[in-house]
Amino acid sequence: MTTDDVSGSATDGPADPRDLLGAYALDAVDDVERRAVERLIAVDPQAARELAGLTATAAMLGAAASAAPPRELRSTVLDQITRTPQVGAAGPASTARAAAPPATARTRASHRRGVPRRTVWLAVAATALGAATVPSAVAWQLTRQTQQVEQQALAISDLLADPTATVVRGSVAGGGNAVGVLTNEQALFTATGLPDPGAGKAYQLWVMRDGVPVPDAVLADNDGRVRAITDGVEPGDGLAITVEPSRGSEHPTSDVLVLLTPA
Amino acid sequence: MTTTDNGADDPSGAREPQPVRRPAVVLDEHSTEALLVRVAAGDESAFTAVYDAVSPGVFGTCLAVLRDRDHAAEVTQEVMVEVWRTATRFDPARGSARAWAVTLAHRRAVDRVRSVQSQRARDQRAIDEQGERPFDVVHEEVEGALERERVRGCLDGLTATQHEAVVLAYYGGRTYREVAEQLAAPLATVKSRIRDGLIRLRDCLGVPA
Repeated sequence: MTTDDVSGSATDGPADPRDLLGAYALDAVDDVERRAVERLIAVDPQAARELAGLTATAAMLGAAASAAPPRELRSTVLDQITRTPQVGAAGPASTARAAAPPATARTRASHRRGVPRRTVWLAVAATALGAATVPSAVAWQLTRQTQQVEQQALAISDLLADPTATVVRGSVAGGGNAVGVLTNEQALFTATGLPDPGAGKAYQLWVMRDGVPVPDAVLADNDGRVRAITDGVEPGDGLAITVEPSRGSEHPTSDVLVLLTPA
Repeated sequence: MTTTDNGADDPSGAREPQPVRRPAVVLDEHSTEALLVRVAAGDESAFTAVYDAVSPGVFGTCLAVLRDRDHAAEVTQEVMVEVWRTATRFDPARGSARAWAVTLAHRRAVDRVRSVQSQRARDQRAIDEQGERPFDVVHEEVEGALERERVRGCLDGLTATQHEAVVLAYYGGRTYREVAEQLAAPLATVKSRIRDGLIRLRDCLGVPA
């Protein structure tokens, strides 16, 4: 028995939500259709990928219509946000400013825990914090710095305040020294004295899990200094770096230059 | 082959392959994306910079859809507060901060259009819009002119029917059913014009597929 082809029916029969991906990206669907598409992308990674591309395209249509908002709007909004709580924030909306003694560092840690974990993390070149090596003692002196550097410092101090933190050092093959701070949930990798990786190449960080390298970020190289914090680690993982094309690689294409593993 | 510096053999042959993570996003610490990540941690001064960077895209989108400066300003205010309130939901791996804000803006502007307009008013809009191109109604800004040219150029690469469907849907804030009604075209046809038109735009603009 053959099934009828309903695709040519005069009235629109049960719609394949795949056909609605474009309309969804343009917000050109009603709520029922919206939910159908959202159910589809939750189970179909290819559809989710297509939608992501179409949504990004739609956003360019909007961005192209750019126009300066009325000047008075700025102060209205900036004032309003001081009274607006954020989703996912565990603590008060305002950030701590001054150098943080350990007790406050712990409070900051619990505030950050309220922020959902991301696979994205900040890879930063060594900054005005300036230390060429990370001291093996847990005490970390926060000096008054720009807010940006404070944020990095607070992230690092959270790490060092973690009771599961292990500090590991190693020499980098080809030149340089590396230090890792490994905890059960996050790891800091920092190295100095690295040679220039070469044109079109960069150092890439890998999380070593049972001998298998899991790709992590490509590192920004600031005059031979690199630093990164990742939360893509599990207890027992190590850290390694290789030189890769600056785009990054899924598998190492060159030798591991240093391997830092917890004892 | 990976070699470890303690000389151990690479055991990959004997192992279940690990699910490979994409290399994580490296954020330039000065980028709007990095600023937005700081906003997610409650950083109000970072938000000021994010406001300056994304509010023109937000206001422009609202203006293009709502065609009224006061309404556009109201919705822009709502959207920028939402950017602050929901900054933890921004994922830099999925796209730019500006794209995220514009997407929020478009959705809100469209919801506003649909909730305030009666059918009669929608019909009137349809009449008013004939012959207009969306960029004509938007106040010209020097900044973003290059991007506007790129988008305009890529829109020109669409077929006439794709162009019409995409513009009515996006800038006109219409559902695809309303577009189909206005163009007196079958629903399936309009759906595919919209999807094919967007795919063509995506490829022309070089958005990663």
